[in-house]
Amino acid sequence: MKKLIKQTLKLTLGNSRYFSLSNSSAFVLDPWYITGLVDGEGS
Amino acid sequence: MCISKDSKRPLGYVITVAFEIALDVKDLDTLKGLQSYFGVGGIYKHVGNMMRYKVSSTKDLTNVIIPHFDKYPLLSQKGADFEILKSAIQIINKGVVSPEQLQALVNLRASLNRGLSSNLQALFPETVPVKRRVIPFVASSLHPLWVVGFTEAEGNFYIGVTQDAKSKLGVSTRLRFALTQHSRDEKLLQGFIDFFGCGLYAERNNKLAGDFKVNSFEDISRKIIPFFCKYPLLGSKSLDLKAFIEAAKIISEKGHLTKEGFGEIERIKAGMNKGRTH
Repeated sequence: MKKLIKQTLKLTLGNSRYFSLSNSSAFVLDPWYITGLVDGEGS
Repeated sequence: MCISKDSKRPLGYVITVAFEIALDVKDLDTLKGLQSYFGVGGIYKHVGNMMRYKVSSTKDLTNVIIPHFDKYPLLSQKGADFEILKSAIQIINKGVVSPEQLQALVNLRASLNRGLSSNLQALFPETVPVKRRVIPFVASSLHPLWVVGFTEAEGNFYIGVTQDAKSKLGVSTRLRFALTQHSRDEKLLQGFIDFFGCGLYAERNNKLAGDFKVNSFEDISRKIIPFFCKYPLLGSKSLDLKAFIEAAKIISEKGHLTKEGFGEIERIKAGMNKGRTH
């Protein structure tokens, strides 16, 4: 089990898509993302 | 929706409607993303370090904002606020507002967000607040990207450090992921248990809010972190998630039980959430 968790985290940390957050393409918003954001913060 | 006195108007009142969302200035790019997506509205300075995206033109609300939320409906009880605002805009779009329509708008306003101000209550004693529809929670409606957006707003990635006499270092370290909302959305928060396949719901002591929480390290490592790697956060909270993942990696390797590893976790924790300076 611990080995599996380590493997999961290793894969996670190696996910380049996750770490390319400053790319402007990241802010092309999905319509469901927008609704979720508004459910949390909008008025 | 705002109803305020204006002697220049035929009925003596001006009615303004708007859709807005306020975020910390560090999430300005997210607000720009909203503006770009909708193609209408503006971004303005709000209180403190907050900025807000606002759409106040009834034409834009009618043609852009309402169709979006009709197609991608709000899942929380905020959906009832949307329905009230939509009804108000339908009245406004009819043209000149009659005294009866003005009272109908006040009745709607009385059920919107925090209700009527004491001033409006005194000016409109005949007000009967409209009944808010209870938005039913449908488990199948939880789209992964909706969950990402909701987490961007309400999620919390937390590293807890507590005194623990049994531990070699005298402290214990734990991770927690939580989603918080008004207690009226308890069913929605409980829905995350099935969605993520882990966690629990807990109402806060004040009964006003509740939390979906995941405290198990195994669930965080095997379910929560992989989910957000598949569906990444976009705003500043993604930096907290990154730090959270770094701490999880240290814990998975038992590094938190060593002086060096624990020191690293403390450093990560200090730079997260409210401790983040960029």
